[in-house]
Amino acid sequence: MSIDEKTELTSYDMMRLSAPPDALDRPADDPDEAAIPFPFPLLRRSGVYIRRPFLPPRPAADETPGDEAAGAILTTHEELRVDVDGLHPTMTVSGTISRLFGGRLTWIARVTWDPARKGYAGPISYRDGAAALEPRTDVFVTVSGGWWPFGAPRVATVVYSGGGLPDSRRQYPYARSAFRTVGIEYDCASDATAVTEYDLRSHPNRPADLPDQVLTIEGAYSRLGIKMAKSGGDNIIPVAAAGANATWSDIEMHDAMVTHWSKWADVPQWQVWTLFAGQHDMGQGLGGIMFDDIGSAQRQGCAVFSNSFISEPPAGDPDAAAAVQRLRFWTAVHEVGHSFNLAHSWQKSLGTAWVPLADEPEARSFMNYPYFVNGGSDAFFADFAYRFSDDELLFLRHAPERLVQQGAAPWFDHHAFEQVRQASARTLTLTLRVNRPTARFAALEPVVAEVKFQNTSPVPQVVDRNVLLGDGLTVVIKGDRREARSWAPFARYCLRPEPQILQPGESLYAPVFLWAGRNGFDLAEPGRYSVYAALSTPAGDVLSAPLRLEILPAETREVDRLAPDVLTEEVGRVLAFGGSRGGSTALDRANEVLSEVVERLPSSPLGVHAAAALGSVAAAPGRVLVGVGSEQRFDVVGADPDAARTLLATAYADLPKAADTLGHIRLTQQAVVNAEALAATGASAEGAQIAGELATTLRSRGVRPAVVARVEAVAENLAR
Amino acid sequence: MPRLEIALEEGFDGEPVVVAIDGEVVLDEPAVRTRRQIGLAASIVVDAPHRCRVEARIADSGSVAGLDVDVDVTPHIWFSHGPGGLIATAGAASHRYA
Repeated sequence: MSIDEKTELTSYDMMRLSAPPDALDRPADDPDEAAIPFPFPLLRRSGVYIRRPFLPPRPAADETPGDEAAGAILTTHEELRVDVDGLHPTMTVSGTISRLFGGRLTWIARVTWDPARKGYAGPISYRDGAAALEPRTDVFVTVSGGWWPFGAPRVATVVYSGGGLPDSRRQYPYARSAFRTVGIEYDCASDATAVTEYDLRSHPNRPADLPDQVLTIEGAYSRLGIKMAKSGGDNIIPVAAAGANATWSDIEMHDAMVTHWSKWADVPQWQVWTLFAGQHDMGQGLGGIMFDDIGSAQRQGCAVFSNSFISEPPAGDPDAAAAVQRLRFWTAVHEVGHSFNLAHSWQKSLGTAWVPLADEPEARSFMNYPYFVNGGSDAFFADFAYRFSDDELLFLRHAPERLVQQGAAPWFDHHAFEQVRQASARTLTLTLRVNRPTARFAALEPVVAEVKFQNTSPVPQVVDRNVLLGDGLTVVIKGDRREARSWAPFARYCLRPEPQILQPGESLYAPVFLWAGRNGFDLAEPGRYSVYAALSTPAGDVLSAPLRLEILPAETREVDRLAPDVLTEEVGRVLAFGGSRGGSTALDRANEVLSEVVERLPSSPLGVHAAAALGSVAAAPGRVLVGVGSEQRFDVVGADPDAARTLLATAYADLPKAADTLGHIRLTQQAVVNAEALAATGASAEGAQIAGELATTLRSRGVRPAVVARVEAVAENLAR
Repeated sequence: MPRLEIALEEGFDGEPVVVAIDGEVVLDEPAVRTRRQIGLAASIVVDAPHRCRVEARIADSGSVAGLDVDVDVTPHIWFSHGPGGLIATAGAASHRYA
């Protein structure tokens, strides 16, 4: 039998783990695919299996080509949870499919053993998330291998069928036995008693088959597939933290959690903190509480109160000390259960359940009050196997992570993204970067980044020259403690593919105006952000490392006052497109705002963008759509060389600074066009100067020599 | 006077609740909400006549529940709110929450 981690399994548990539930029902001559003849026991199938995000270019021989052919495999992470044997199996198979920028789906199927097909089959009865990630309706699951150190690795194979679609067959290598992995810390107030374990046979009133074992809180969860291990703790907290009354309020406990818990973070995480305290403000009647319904990331802390009814010896009990220990232990496991979002057994039908649930007022579960059942605590503990109900196990093991995890995770799973990115092929590399020493941006400064798509293989690669300009490029912006948002540029370009050979080390580049888009201003608020880029290509998706950047708060009130006028869609559009001649009320107003910015903050980064945009429009003639309805027409508007010279002098007064904020590509594109436009109006000298200084600046910043040479050629041409 | 414990327990989700003993209001909360992790929304301990009528009313729905209580025998009364309205029970021992 494969044993991969300590889960506090007793010999009793091992015996129950070894056989599938129907083993006794099978004919003696029924060849079980997972059974190995004497002397080996039957293989345990339950556990977590993960489909690797990085696979060979072609699917395995017996797999169905599907997502791989579409190039989505590099961005798809699949976890399969098989729960068909072991301790208290729920006869469930579930999965979570996470696709980068494509959402997440958790599906659940209740399965039964199919003796004819020698596997587990059932319909998918629950979905949460992007249903399109797996639209089929039924699963058939087999498990093979795993006889370490002999034979093939353990693999689960799932055939997805139904929904009017061709079957999909996918293989999942075994990853681990536990469905979840959680850290726990215990701290104890100086006037309290911590009870973290209980000898299951210490009290005479118990099921006869209860194992001879000292069960810890961690063990109570680990043996049920929720691997729990101590992450630190054992601090003694002065009772003074409970205030002058020496009893704890929820806020005081939350403060203690923030202060003493080594894993404290206001984010979702598989971590829980338990405080053993004296008494709550409510008094003796409260034995414990999951107090953490405070703030944004809740359910991370709970408390058990030794100076409460749980420490009162039951009258007439044959072993009062053991009864007290038992109830204290039960309370601790019960409160930790609330941190997993488990409700009381009699409350299942209340509120918004994740699936329709029936109340279980007689359940012999950690989540039921022993004294609530018929016959009271004696009846409860006579029949209590130190477990959760089947519905509760289903929830703990298979419910969407966001419903179970302490703190409740947001939709964008950074951890899964990093796994996929690091596993992606290195043939072509995508880099998201800024052309400046630090990725810190002033308040209201437009954020411009650069995407670099490089051939990092030793052989030439054929790519589409326009691949960075179309809708194959996806960018996600995530502020710390904010939801991730997909950047939606004001324009996408539909271009015919133009094959280009990228030699080893060669790259394509494109600017990305991250500051504003159709979703608004995702980088307007001060704070830190992570920005990710992904490029969809025929060879597969290519993912960038995250770009970390920081938006600084406003340094002056003047910047604050300008913000409402600057952070409008029209100003965003004008700056994104590098300028506008107006012609509508909104665009004219945007130009007025930018003019005001140039006047008030000429040397600011925003002022550089504004001056460059206004100057670009003034430098060359163009057309404006005027009139309404059938009267609409294009009017030609001439250049305004005087205005252009003034504005461009402002924009390019400090070219290194302009390069920092505009980025090399946008600065080069704009400045070259403006220089040529000035020359066309007779200001060749100014145009040549701009181009010449630009070339010098670009060279000093390490821009590719070919680009510098092109700019120098423009300067020389204008100087003639 | 004996002491009477009155608890509002399961099923409250922001309702305005008034509790009266023999018509005298002892609890008037504009938004009672059950903390589901302990199954309790609010509780008070008040002086009460040895025998009295305790009633709880949800102001906006008009749901009412009440009991005639012998406080010396059953000094604890609990109200829960279900699909059928308020339910009142009384008992000799206090409820315990965890």
